[in-house]
Order: sequence, then C-alpha cells, then structure tokens
Amino acid sequence: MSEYDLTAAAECALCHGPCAAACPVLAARGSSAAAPRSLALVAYLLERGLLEPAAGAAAGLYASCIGCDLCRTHCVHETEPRSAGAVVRAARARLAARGQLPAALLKQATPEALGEFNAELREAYGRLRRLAEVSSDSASASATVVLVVDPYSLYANPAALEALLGLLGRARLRVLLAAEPYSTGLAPWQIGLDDTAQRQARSAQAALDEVAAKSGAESLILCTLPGDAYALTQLYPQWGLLLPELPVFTVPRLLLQLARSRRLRLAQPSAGWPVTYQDPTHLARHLGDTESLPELLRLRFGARVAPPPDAGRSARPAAAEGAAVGITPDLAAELATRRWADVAAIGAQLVVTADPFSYQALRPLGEDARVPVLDIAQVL
Amino acid sequence: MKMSWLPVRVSVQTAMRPSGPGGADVVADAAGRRWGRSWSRSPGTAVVGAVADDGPGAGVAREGDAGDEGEGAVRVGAAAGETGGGPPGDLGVARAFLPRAVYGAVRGDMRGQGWAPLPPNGEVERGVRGGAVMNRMERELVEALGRPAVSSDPASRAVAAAGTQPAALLALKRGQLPPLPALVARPGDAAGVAAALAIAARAGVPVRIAGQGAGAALAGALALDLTRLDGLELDLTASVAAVGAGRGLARLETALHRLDRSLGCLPDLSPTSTVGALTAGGAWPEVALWGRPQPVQRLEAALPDGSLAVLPPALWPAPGGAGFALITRVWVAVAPPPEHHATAALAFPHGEAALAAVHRLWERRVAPDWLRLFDAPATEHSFDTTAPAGHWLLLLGSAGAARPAQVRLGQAVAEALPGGSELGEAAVRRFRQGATAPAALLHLLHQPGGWMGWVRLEAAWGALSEGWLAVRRVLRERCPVVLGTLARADAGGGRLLLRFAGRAATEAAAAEALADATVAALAAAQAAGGRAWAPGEPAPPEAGQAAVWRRIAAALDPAGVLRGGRQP
Repeated sequence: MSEYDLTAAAECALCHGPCAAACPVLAARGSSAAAPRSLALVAYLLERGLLEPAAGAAAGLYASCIGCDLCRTHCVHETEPRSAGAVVRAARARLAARGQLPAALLKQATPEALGEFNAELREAYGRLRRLAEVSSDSASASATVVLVVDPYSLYANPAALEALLGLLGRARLRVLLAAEPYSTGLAPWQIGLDDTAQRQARSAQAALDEVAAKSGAESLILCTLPGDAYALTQLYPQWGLLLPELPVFTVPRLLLQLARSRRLRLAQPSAGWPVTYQDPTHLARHLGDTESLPELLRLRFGARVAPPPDAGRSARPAAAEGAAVGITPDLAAELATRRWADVAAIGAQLVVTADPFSYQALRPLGEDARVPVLDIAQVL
Repeated sequence: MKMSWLPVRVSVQTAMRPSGPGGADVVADAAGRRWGRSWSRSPGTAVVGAVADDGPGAGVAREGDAGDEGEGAVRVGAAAGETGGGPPGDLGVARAFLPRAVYGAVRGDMRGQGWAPLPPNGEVERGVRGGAVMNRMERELVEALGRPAVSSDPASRAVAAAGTQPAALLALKRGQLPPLPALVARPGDAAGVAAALAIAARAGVPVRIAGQGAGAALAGALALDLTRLDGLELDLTASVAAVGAGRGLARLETALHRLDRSLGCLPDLSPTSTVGALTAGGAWPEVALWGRPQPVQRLEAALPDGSLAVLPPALWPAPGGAGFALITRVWVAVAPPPEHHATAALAFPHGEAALAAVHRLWERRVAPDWLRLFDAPATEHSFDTTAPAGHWLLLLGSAGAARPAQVRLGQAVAEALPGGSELGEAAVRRFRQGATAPAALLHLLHQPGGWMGWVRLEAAWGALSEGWLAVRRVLRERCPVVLGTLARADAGGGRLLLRFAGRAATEAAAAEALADATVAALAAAQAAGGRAWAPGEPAPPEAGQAAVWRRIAAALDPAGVLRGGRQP
C-alpha cells in the first residue's frame, strides 16, 4: 500500500467501526472477522509486519469483502467518508505485488468472473457482434453506440444483450463492437492484480480507439456492465489512460435518455402486479446513479413500481459484483438469499436488475419462488 | 493522581519453551503497592494483563508458577487478567482507578518496536494454558460447533483481540498487538454457546466475548464471537422481540421497522453495540426512551455447566463484573414506530443552568421521550448549531402521535427553558444525521502522537455538576479536546460520558498521557462524590452488592472462567 493507503488502513483500523451495521458480508458470514474494521485491521497489521500473510490473513481479505462500499455510508467521517473496501483492495494489491496472493482461493475463480474470455465466450462475443451488424441499420442511424461487452454479461444473460441490441435498433442507433473481445481490467483490479488490470485496460483503450475511429461524429460509449462505466470514467484517468472523447453511458442511463427524448417508445403502463428492482452497486453507489433504473421502470410500469428496502445508495447487494463472485461463490449465494428475502417481503411479482451479477444471483431464487427476474433491457 | 513507577524485572521460566524465558514487569506506586505484568518472549505467546495487590509479591509472577499447571503455562497470567473486580477502596485508590485496559497499554509494552510477526497457524503457543490443553479444547470445540466455527490462526485471534477501547487503539497505533486469545469460536446458537462455555470451564480456560461491542481481550482465553446469534422473533401480540445477543442495535432497529415496530431508541442509537453487550453492560437505559421503563424483560444465558437458563434482567449488569453466565438472547419490549418526531434545542450559558433544567424536568415528571445534554466543547465539536459560543446544548425530543408528541415536548421545553434560550430546528440537524463527536476525537487520534480516551461518571444530582466540571477541569489541563454528554438521568442523578483526546510528542508519551488523563479524571470524579469507571471496566458496584454476586458467581462459575480465571 502507498503511504496514503496505510493512513486509510490505520484510520479504519483505529476506529470503533460503526460501518459494521451496514456491512452485508458481516451479516452473511456471521463472524466479526468479516466486519469492515476487522479487514482494515488485518490490512494494517500486515502492512506493519505484525501478521504474516500466510496466517489466514490474506485469505480473509479476499473472502470477506465484495467492494460494495456500503461501509462508506456509515462512516464517522461525515465530510469525507472512508471506504474500508478501498483499504482492502489496496491491501490485495500489496499482496499481489509481493507475490503473496492466496493462490488456491484465486484458482477456483471462473474466467468470466476474472474478466477473461474463454473460447466459449469468444464465440458468444462473435455472435453478438454479427447480430449487432445485422440489427443496426447504418443508413437510418442517428448516432453510433460503441458497445463495451464484458465476459460476465455474455456468460450470465446473453438474452439481455440481444434485447438491448433490439432496443438500440428501435431507437435508430448503430451499434459497433470491436473485432476482438476485451475487458476493461475492472475484475483484476478488484482483486489487486494491478498489472493485469492495466494490461487489459491498455488493450481496451486500443480497441475503443479503433472502434471510435469508425463511429462518426455523434457517438457514445455504452457499457453493458455498470462497473465497466465506473472503470472507464473513474479508474482510467487515475491510470493515465486517455479514451476517445465520447460520453460514457450505462444501459439504464442511456435507455432513460432515449425514453425521455421519445427516441425509444415504451408501452403504456397498465394495471398488474407489483414490480421491484435491484440497484447495482457500481451504478447506485460508485457512479451515484440512483434514478435511472427506477425512473425507467416507472415509465414502463407506472405506479406498480415498489422500491425494495434500502434502495439507491443504501441498496444491499444481491451479488458480489465482479471478481469476488468467482472467489467466494458461497458468499455470493448467501448475499442473494438475504436480498431475495427483502424482495419477497414487499410481495413483488417481477424483479428487474441492471447488472448481470445481480441477475445471475437472483434468477434461481426467482425461479423457486415463481417470480421472474429480468434485466432492464428485457422488460422494455 | 500521578503514579510513580519503579520497574523491576522478575524472571519466570516457562516449561513449554525453555529457550524462551518469560518474565514479569513489576512496578510499585507511591504507596508501596505493587503492580505487575507477566510476559513471554516466545513469538505468539499472549501477553497477560496487569496485576496489582497490596502485599509484596502478591499476584506477581514467580519462579515455579509455570510448574503448577503442569503444562508449562504462565499460570499467573490468568489470575492477573482481572484486577478490577473488587469494590473501590478495598485495594486502595490506585487499584480501583487504574483500569487494566489502560495499564495494559501503558505498562504492557508488549513487544515494543521489535514485535515479531506471528508464526503460521499451528505453531502458536496458546497463552495461559499449555498447548495440550488448548489442542484438546480445540478438538472438543470443533466436535461441538463444527470446523468452520473454530479458528486458531493468528489473524482471527488478532481481530478478536482488537477491541475499540482507547488503550487498545493506542497500542495498535504504536504497532503493538493486544493480548491474543488462544482460540476463537463462533457458535451458531445458544446451545453452541453453552457447549463452548462448558468445554472451556472443563479446561479451566477463561472465556471472553469478542467482536462488535465487546470489551478488552484476555490473553490465552477462548474468544466467543456471537455475531451468528442474530435471530429475531417478534411476538406482535405481546409486543416483545426475542433478539439474539450478537445482533447489532442498528440492524435490529432496521429489521423492526420493516415489521412496523421499533425499540423506540434515541436517534443516535449506537450502531456498534450488540444487544448482548448492551444488556451485559447495563446500558439499555442510555438508549431507551427517557422516563420509560427499561425495555429488557428477560434474558436467556448460557451457564458454565453447559446449560441454558432464562433469567430476570435484574441480574445484569453484574456488579463489579462478577459475571457468571453469557447472555445469548434478550427479550425486549417493542412498540409501533412513532408517527411523528418533535425535537427542540435549548442553549444554556453554563453547565449549572443546564443541569438544573434537566433536574427540574425529572423532579416535575415533565419528561420528553428523549433528552441529551452536551457541554460547550461537545456542542462546538459535534453540532452545526446557532448556539452562542460557550453555551451548553440541551436536546429534547418526543415521538408518537403528532399532537400528543408536540404537547409533551412543549411542556418539557416550557419547564426547562428558564435560564436558557430556545434554538431553531436547524440546531439539531447533525444530531439527527447521526453525526457525533467520535469523528473529531478520531481525527486527533490519527495525528502523530495523538491519543484518545473516555470515562463514565455516575453521580447524584447534587454532585453531578461539580463532578462534571471537576473532571473537565483536570482533563483540560492535559488535552485540548474534552467532550461531555449527559446520557442518562433518573431520580437519583445522571450518567455522563466524558471523551477526550490530545497529542503527545511521541507515541510512547501518548500512552502515558492517556493513562495520566484517565487516572486523573477518575480520581477527580470520585473526589467529587461520583462513581466513575473507564472503558473495559465494569461499573463499580453499589455498596453491599458485590458480596452477594460473588456468592452467585462462586456457585455457578466455580472455575471463574467468565472472570478471567479469577476465583470468586
């Protein structure tokens, strides 16, 4: 960790830890060792050489933080809240730099969770790219969307991507995908593999440059994963990476803009069952967009939209969004079960998400309860 | 009171690691009383707490102590962990006033700058009991609770040991680990707690609660993390919630709100406290609505013989820390969430006027639903108010149906107002947002040489104002930030929380400054006629109570595993 990170670790480690009340992992794990302050304490002790990484400490740093950043919402530092998640990420990076990663833990992670395209996902990417070419009518297109497709979206809910292409076509937007799949580097960055993250990021930068060169004057970048939009807008500037000067959108944000401008016409709301939604961490907290998803749903379903408990910035995660989902599948399942209990409590008959992690986590629970779980692109 | 220290080193041979002799630092105060702390050089061996006694050598590690156990353990450590159990006065001012948590940080210079990294799991000595005993206990715990619920790796133990008491924070800041428990167990239900307790009692290993809201760690103990005991059962008919002891108050209140119920606590409900910790510490009245009965109706507790018992709440807090069981579940009264909150803020030019206003409210039974009084520095540091500089801030609140709540609040304001002035609604904005003084104090702690601490003071109405001012005075001589809050009041008097922070030239001097300020504050409080205690210490007992509780503890916990191995 840098000097700043150590300071942050000390601040969290030497706090009384009111953020524990907000931590979904603490509740799911049932161990105070999973509390944000405890993890920061481990990071602090590691940094000061008071603990050996081999002593279970490193594994704890990977198994007990999903980076949801809810700890920030309960920080005692009111004017400049700290994030124990950021401390944990920095500690992971330090472990990685020292070659002290818990290899067994990382080995169990699936490629899509680590932001990697295996042969199957490459094939899926190729199909999506061809579909985009077919569905985009470049002659009548008013603007071009440079679509950033992450491996987990392809893995978890390819139907949502196809639905998204349909919506963009209806809005007369041309969709371009890079010839080869690429990742933004978000997943390796989350687990501290900063070198890998920056290598992936440079590939992404090159791919986006290439696609943007073909995109014309009125263009934008659309990320199917909210976390990718976070990476492009928040992390890349920190890494010194310059992207094409195009606005970066998440799916809910762009669809809402299209709906409001009537370039995308939605069906009239009608009476029926209640609808609720799951705010993705990266959308609601990291990007601060708490309105796009519920507003889109209100346009589509009217008064039937019922916010879940702790919506918006306080939304409890339904899933570990990113690499953690592959590293700690048991935790991911527990988080989903707990979040589903919230959803079930309000009697929702349809649950809408805007990220593939939440979709993948909630869908099986929805099947058991006979409540459909769909991506926002699928319900419009 | 300033102690004078006379360090002496006494060697103790540990049979377990003959190559790593332990020892004890012994200090004497000005009155000739001796204090000591045993220690070991062996990496990972937990450092035991402070000891103090009147007679020469009493409670101090001696040659041959290790042999008593037959396991090579430093036996004195277990007995030494508890020094604050007796009533104040019977061991003199020094013993009553120098809490072990503070002493542990100041005198327990556990590793200094040369603290070595802990060895990997499996190579760690287990503190006060020998390795064979601990290994057997670990096996039994795994059998009873399952492997995932038992940890002995250094990271888990360090996390379980690191409380949030000022001395522990300061030690961590200096790069020192607090005394480590030997094992951490996370039982999933009350039966598991009882089983773990019985296993520890059979092995003669002390038990301490770890985790959120828990107090200081104890070297070589079994740390029980009750986080999994977070169940909530609500009896809507009786308006009673049965809550697992490990559930945090903030999470409890959130869950109750979803069920259209509430604890009816103050808005600054402590998010770090668990139901169990709050009950064991007797702190419910501080969060319950002012002037209403205490909400705890009964308790479920695990006894050292492995059984579970349902007990009346009058048994807690056990005076002088003479605990004899672990609380596993608490039945608390709940009510529908109030429809309306009404709040008022009054400013008073000095403490006497503010305390007189609170006393007047109590005497005339014109009670708002909650009340908080902050002294002038606390007001300045904690609130965005329109109060004139140097004024004390009294916040009053009522909740319930809109009109009755407004009427009750109006009556309370009218009664309290003489001598003060009413402020606008904006005065309490930050209070409602949950912003409280810790951020200001933590800011100082994080500075180089920064330190912080707190003491609680309980005093009768007549002594309250004098005690508050006296403690503040001695603290202001020692540190720049002293924040005081009246958190509880009843017919007898009130309970204050005084928090303070300062900076010293070095980290080592910071620990001395904390101890000096704490000791001075406690002495000043007692001189003013109040009862006072520091974090990590149980409230001092009322006269005559301690003996009764000692007899209960002797019957139910003869090995003293819930008192750090100390015999009742």
